[in-house]
Formats: sequence, C-alpha cells, structure tokens
Amino acid sequence: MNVPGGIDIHVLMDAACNDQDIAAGLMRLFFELTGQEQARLAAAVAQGNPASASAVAHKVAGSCASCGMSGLAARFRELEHLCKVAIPDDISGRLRAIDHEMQENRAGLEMYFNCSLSP
Amino acid sequence: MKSILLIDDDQFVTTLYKAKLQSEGFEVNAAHNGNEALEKLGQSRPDVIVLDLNMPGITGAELLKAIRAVPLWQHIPVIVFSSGYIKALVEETTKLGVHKFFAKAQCPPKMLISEIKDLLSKMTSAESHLPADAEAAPEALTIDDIPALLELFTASEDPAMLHTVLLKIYKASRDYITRALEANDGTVQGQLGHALEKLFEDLYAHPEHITESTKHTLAAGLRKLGRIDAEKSKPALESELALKGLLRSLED
Repeated sequence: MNVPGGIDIHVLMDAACNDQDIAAGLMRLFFELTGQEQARLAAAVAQGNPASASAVAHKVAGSCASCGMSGLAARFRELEHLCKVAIPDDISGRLRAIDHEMQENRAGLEMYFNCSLSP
Repeated sequence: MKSILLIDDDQFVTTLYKAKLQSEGFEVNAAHNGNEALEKLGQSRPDVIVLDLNMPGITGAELLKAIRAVPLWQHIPVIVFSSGYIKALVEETTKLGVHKFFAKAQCPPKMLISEIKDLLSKMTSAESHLPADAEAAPEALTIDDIPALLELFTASEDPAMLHTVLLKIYKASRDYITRALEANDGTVQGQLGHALEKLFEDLYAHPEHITESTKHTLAAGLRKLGRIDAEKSKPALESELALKGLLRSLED
C-alpha cells in the first residue's frame, strides 16, 4: 500500500510495535495535537509574535520527526529557524504548504490504515 | 522492574515512547514540564531520565541543574532527546552530566529505545555485583538534602520552581521542625521551630512573598535550627557511646 512520500512508514510502524491499531491510535493523537499546535502557530503569526511561532514550530517538528514525517519535520524546522529572527514575509504560503502536506499525509494514512484518523 | 521518566512538553512524543517502552517491559512515567517532573521524581526515583531541552517555563538545562542538586537524584543517568541542538543549552547540560544526546530529527524511536535498553541492562549487570545493602537507596528526602535544596532555593527565580523546592525543603526538614515543635516554647529551639513552621506556611500559601530577604531568613533559620538540633543530640550520642564502651569493658 502506498503512503505519501513525506512519511517513512517503517519509523511509524516500529514506534507502534508493528501494530496497526496502535499506529492508527498514535496518528489520531498526532493529528489532534498538531491541529491544536497549528492553530497556536496561526495565532502567534496573527499577533506578530515570532518567538511564540518559533517555539510552536520547534515542538511540532519534534512530533513529526518521531513518527516518520520527515517532510513536515523539515518544513517546521525551517520555520522555527526563520521565526527566531522574524516572521518571514512568505508565512501565508508556508502555512498553506504545511496544511496541504498535513492533509495529504492524513488522507494517505487513512487509506493505509483503512480507518478515519479524526479524533 | 526498571523505571524511566520521560520529560517532554510534547504529549505526542511522550505517548509514543511510553507505549513503546512499556511494551518492552519497563515502568514508564511522563512529565510535561519541569514542575511536574520534580513532582514525579519526588514520588519515586527513576532508573533513567529522558529529557527534552526546549520546554516552556523551566528549560531542560535548568531542570537538570535542579535534579543534580539533590543527592538522591545526582547519579540518575540522563539522556537528552531534543528537537534541536541549542549550543548554549547543550554546553550547560554537558557540564551537569548527560549520558548521551539525541536529536529527534535524526533519531528514529528504535535508536533511542535501543540506547535505553542497553543502558539499563548495563546498570542491571553492575547492580548484580553490589552487596545487597548497597542497592538500598533512601527514597525520601532527608536532613542531608537541606543544604543543596537551600542553595537551589536561593538561586531560583522562577515562582513555580520556588514553590516546588520550598515544599521539598519542608519535607527534608520535617525532622528538625517536629523536634523543635516538641521542645519547650521557652527555648530558642521551640521558638525557632514555631517561627519556621509559620514561615513555611506563609510562603507556601503566598509564594509572591518569596523575596531575597525571606529566602535568606528561611535559610538562616534552618541552619540555626540544624546547629541547635545537632548540639542537643550530642549529649545523647555521647552517653550512648559511653554506655557502649562500658558494656564492651564488662564483656572483656
């Protein structure tokens, strides 16, 4: 079964003791928590608070890396570093790209696990 | 059963590793900030700590400093597992004794799990060569922990951290205070015991009253009480030693 290119399914399955139910449960939690963090990130950007945006991006980068989402981890890490200086001018595009990849990963994993990953 | 304390503000990371480590047969606790970590450490001493450096409030480095200040926790191996290497934090934690550093981005879960298992198996092997009584570590805070805790209390500025350390100082000095409260109110020991008990209550209920001056008063009061306590127990110790000497001479 194919999963989106930005996910290393072996990392995820290994973390989940090769159990599909555990992996799906972890992913459900992942999408719930990162959804909240993405909202915090958007709020930090709207308030023009780069330090807070950087801290949120840092946290989500770690979550993404831990479950094999290396593509998203790299996007968040880059954003973390940029926000240490200032909120980048192309922030809207970056957030859209992150959101798009997040949805793509979610749809791919829902097909892979054959279940909904909604909380 | 060997136990692990995971300290990370990311609930997803702690959930993922908790499930995986539990499936490997370990007892796992998770804390999502520095204060929660100190609480969990106070409840039971883990065999290994996995620590994130970049956390809101008390950072991993500050937390490690607090952990190393308590004798009971001084030698717990700590593995740093963090999203990014912030040079200053890494340098600070290295000085405080870190077993290994792992960057989340370059460390798939199995790498960290394998390191933890390896470390714990080495510890088990080392422990099997110890005499039975050497393994027994006191779980509670004692009077001996007071100097390090007072040092930490005096150096801390974070209100939440001060609150937690204050509680630990109170627990560690409970023997002093109890003995002082049992002493006659007319004695310096009795008066000091009551004053310190009141000061602890006040500072715990109103941490905003913790200032440089109240920190100094508490530290000075506890040191004085410690000296009085030691002086008072000296004659008892001396007569006990004299009695033992007499018994030995009678046996001879």
